[in-house]
Amino acid sequence: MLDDKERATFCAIADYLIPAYEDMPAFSQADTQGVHTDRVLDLRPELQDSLTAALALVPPIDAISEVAEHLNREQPEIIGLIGLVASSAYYLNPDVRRRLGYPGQVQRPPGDDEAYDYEDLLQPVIDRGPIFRPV
Amino acid sequence: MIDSIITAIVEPPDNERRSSTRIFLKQREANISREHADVLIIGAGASGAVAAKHLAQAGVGVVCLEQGRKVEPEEFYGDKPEWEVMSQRRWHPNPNVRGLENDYPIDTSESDVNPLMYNAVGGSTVLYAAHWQRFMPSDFRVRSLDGVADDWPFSYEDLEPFYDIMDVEMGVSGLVGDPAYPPMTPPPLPPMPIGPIGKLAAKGMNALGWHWWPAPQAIPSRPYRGRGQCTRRGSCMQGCPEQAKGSTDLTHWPDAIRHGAELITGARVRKITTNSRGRADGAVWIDRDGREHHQPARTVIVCANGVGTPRLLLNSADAEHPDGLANASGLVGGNLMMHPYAAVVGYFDEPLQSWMGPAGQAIHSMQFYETDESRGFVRGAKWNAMPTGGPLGMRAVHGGGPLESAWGESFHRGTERRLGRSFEWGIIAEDLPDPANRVVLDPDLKDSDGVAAPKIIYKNSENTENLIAFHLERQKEAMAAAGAKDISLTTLMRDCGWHLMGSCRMGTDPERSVVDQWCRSHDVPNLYIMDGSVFVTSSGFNPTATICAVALRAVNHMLENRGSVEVA
Repeated sequence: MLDDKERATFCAIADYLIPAYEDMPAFSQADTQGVHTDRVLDLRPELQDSLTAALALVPPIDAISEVAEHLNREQPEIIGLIGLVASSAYYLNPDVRRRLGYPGQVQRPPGDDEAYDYEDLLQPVIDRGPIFRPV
Repeated sequence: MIDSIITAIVEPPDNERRSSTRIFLKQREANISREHADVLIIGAGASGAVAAKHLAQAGVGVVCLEQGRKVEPEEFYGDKPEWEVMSQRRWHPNPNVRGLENDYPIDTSESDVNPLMYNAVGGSTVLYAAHWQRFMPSDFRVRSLDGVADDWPFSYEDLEPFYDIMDVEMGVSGLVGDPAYPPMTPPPLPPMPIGPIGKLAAKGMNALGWHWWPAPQAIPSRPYRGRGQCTRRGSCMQGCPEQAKGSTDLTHWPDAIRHGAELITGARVRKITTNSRGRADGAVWIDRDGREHHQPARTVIVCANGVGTPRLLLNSADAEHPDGLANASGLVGGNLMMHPYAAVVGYFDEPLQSWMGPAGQAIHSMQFYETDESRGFVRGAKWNAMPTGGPLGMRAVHGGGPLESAWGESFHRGTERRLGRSFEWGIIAEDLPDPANRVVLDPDLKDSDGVAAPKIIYKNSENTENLIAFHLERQKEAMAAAGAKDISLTTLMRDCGWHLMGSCRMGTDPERSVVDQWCRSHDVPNLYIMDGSVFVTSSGFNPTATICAVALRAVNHMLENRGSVEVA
């Protein structure tokens, strides 16, 4: 897991990458306690060391936009890694999913009325007849 | 006794998982272990499972060595919020990304495409999309029809009865009457609904007068043989938590075990051994504690996929076979085909629920499947209309471009544009056999047991590049006709090598092929290869149905001729 300093650096850059926009919250609004970030790092422990090492390379943050642009130019792998962890955590938030209208990969067993409800669409294909190549 | 046998494929808990002998011993306790196998099968994936079931059912003493283990449904994340997070590592189809102990590393530094697979009971069917496609009759006559590659040593009609059996055993859902195929036996289950993306794609194809059809899938649209109905979670390619998808750990291994087949997991085969008569007489394997064993056998069948099989044969070199086993032709490893994959994603205004499954394909099209030389290439491709998944999607691949193109407001706008409002037309491009595209042993890279790892050398041909360019242009037209507001192109997906074919090709001439039409080695008469390695050409179709049908045909021939089959 990240210590306080690492988490502050991570959140500052993550908020620059994922800002508030229309109805969508910024990153740190969607992960106020760091629960989702911790969950991502728990599931993907191989990212932990890389992320910690990457955050140690981030220069002191005065103007976040300058830091982010600098990293993107000089060390894009750091931005890529922070962006991966941040976006992975962001989309674990149930409220973010609700705002997107995304229910997750839920069960939707097909109903009988869906089995063959495209007969009219298929008829032209049938009418054109066989297209396989004779051998 | 049956309970003991079935128990034998249930894995021990995590803290005991390194021991593969535990499973072996359980079966010995059940008094069914075979000191000397009638048939040793190497690899418990699609074809290994089919061979094991049918041989065991016929009373043949089968032992199967599998380097992976049995995966349990609760290990999958398709029914959990973290599904996409886990799909990028633990359940990624690229073994180099997963890096699990049951995987082996593959050097892909000289390949345009990464080979994909899963090493477990059920093999890559655990993670495949379950497109259950037959080859066309023309696919078996490529040399005769188009003057390239070679004809297969048998015809579509020869294989058709075995396709029919496999449809039933896998539980295929589909709609009979596809005009792209000759008339065929209906699959056992009605088609899955084509859903909003299938209907939209179909409207576009109809506007252009192009072929489409509800796609055949090894996914049950109704409860089938103890498996539940598909619930359309859409996580097929990271494992089906519903245990509905037709993977051979579910469709074949329980029957194989019930009929007496012995399955040893965590068993990595280092080499196939031969006796003084030049017959294969077993295999040396390494358990998860690093101990070596020798499993003797009268007959050996290799089912380790188009990369693993040539790797094993090359690793089986000895004084009598300095270039590898079954390799007098020099063709073991050569002619690798992997189906380069390209795609067009269309973005639409209307909600399409395009995270909904099945993940594989709603409809397919063979409009441009056959050769038309005016296009500047030979052969063609199947198209598949697919959903586009959840919100995380391809975020992991960004790096180095302008920040504002992927992040900031673009991050949100991109998700809004794609999520639930897009679908993909994918291209299964037929790549032709080329001896230069091959599997070799890497001089330095080893797996976790110190066994030489494979290296892939694979470049797309000009024919393939022209084929993909043509098909992408047609797919752009199909997307426009469907009403797409915007599109994006993937001209070649690097992580696309699901279909591993051709690296131990079959044929009638021992100088130009590795096995005969019955999958039997020309050089070692009791050694068989029954996976995609034996394919003469790749077709433009997902190959698992054909891999299984070819294996079943070969097993059927073995059984019909069991009195005269060569043994060690």
